[in-house]
Amino acid sequence: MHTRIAVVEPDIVFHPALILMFQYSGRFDCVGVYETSSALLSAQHTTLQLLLLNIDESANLPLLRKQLPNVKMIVITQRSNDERVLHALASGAANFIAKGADPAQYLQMCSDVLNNNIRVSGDIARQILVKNKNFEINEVPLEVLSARENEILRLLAEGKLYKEMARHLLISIETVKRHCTNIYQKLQVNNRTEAINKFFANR
Amino acid sequence: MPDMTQKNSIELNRAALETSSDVAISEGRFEQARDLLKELLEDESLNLPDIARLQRKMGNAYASQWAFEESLYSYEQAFKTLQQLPENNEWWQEWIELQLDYSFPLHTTNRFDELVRLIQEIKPVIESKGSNQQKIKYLKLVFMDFLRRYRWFMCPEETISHIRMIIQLAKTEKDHPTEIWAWGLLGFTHFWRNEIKLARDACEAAFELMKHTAYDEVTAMCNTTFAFSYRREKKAEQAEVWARKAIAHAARNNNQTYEKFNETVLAWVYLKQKNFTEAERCAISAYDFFTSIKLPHLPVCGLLLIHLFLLKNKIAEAAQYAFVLLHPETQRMPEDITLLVKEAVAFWGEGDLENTRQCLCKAVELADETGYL
Repeated sequence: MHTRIAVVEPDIVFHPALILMFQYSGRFDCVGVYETSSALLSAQHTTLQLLLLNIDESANLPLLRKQLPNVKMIVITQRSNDERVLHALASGAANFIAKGADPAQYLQMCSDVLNNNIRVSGDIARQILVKNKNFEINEVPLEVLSARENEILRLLAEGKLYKEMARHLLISIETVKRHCTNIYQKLQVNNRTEAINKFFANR
Repeated sequence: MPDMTQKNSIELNRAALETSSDVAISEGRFEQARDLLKELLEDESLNLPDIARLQRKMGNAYASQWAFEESLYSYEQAFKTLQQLPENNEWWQEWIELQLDYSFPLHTTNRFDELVRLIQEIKPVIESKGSNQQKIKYLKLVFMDFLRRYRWFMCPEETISHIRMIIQLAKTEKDHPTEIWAWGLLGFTHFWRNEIKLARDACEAAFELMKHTAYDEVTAMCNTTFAFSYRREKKAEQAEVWARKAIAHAARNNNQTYEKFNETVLAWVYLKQKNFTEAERCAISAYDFFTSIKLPHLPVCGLLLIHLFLLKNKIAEAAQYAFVLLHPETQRMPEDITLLVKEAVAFWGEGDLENTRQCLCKAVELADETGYL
């Protein structure tokens, strides 16, 4: 079963190339490429799993998150130092990608986000830490987490991969993933970045 | 208990049904083939090797129709049946056939990790127990996997040695269609290793054999290799002659893929003649066809399109073709051209169209100099 994916990208010249990228991958079923978020929402996709969203449309992220609660979202940006990237991440985007990345990087990013294997560049991580206090976060105390979950959250914040955490804690990758899912649920977040935000906000 | 005559008649009837199902598969009557196989499988007196073989053929009837999930299910049933048997030579022969047939849906559905594992697993068994025909099938599988892994460009020497082994085995078996096919593919592989003379020699060998045994697909392939070899050498006249010959042959045989391959050669010829309208028409027609069937060989028209859109100063459009050429499932380009294309796409992503243009111009110049345009 292919992953169902859609794209919101105002640059229509880019549309055919995006469609071909997914077609050639053999792993993704691109259900539509839209110029605006409202066009996407009008299409009423019910089984969408992943959305690539141009940064110019990122102001609509809260609405999209509300309308498409089970869809993971990646932001396409011209520059990683765009202030809006941080806001997009704080608003629930799972990660971001440079518009000029090559198709292999796009496809890898999509797979990683779908597998909850999310890595943020050092540059962005630093910006998240610096800017963190400016974001409005519904505080959930870290005490709700078990000792093991707290430990895993700390490792997440250090940028460790699942396999690295598994090796460090002498548990399986599956167990690490299960702990992460529990952490996200308890902290009411959707991804690693949001969980890390909460971790630092609570320090 | 049936007497001998009755037994012979039952077996003859079975053999007739099985042959009919084989013919039905080869003629594309898959539903009918499956009905015949189902009927055969209902016979309770069948022994386990027969059941496994019929289940495998059921898998083939689905796989030939690209119903891969169903085909994999049937193959798995056949594996389970085989596992109930004590190991003997008959078991191994069927196991090899099953593995070889199983590889097709894996290849076609991009399940390459499983395919590579299967190739490794089957190798020692093929070497010790396989027939020459099974070895040919196996080597074809390995050869195709090499092409895929190296993305049809600059494949290593091993690829050549595998296809040469196929030629030798086909000669021993007097299997002329396979020998012709292998010479044609050898020409293709040498061409994409930039070994132009060897490519033409291999195609000549295929043409020689085809004087006695017609093989339209390989004729189209070899005509195309000749046309492309002259394009690589920047000999426009010969390239055009071979491309038109190839197009005429492919059109007669309704082989659109080779028609479009050769349209890219005509596009290049038109470009050299500064007939940009015709060049663009041919290149776009090929690109649209290739992408519609997910053919990986996009650089043969993509670089031309980049050039044509640069000439019209449509940088963003040119960048789109550049972006697609970087796809990991398309044919590779020479490394220095790829790096320039990558850089261009990065600049385009940042909205810097002047640097995008400069990088793409350099990529096109380099491609033109080296015959890759």
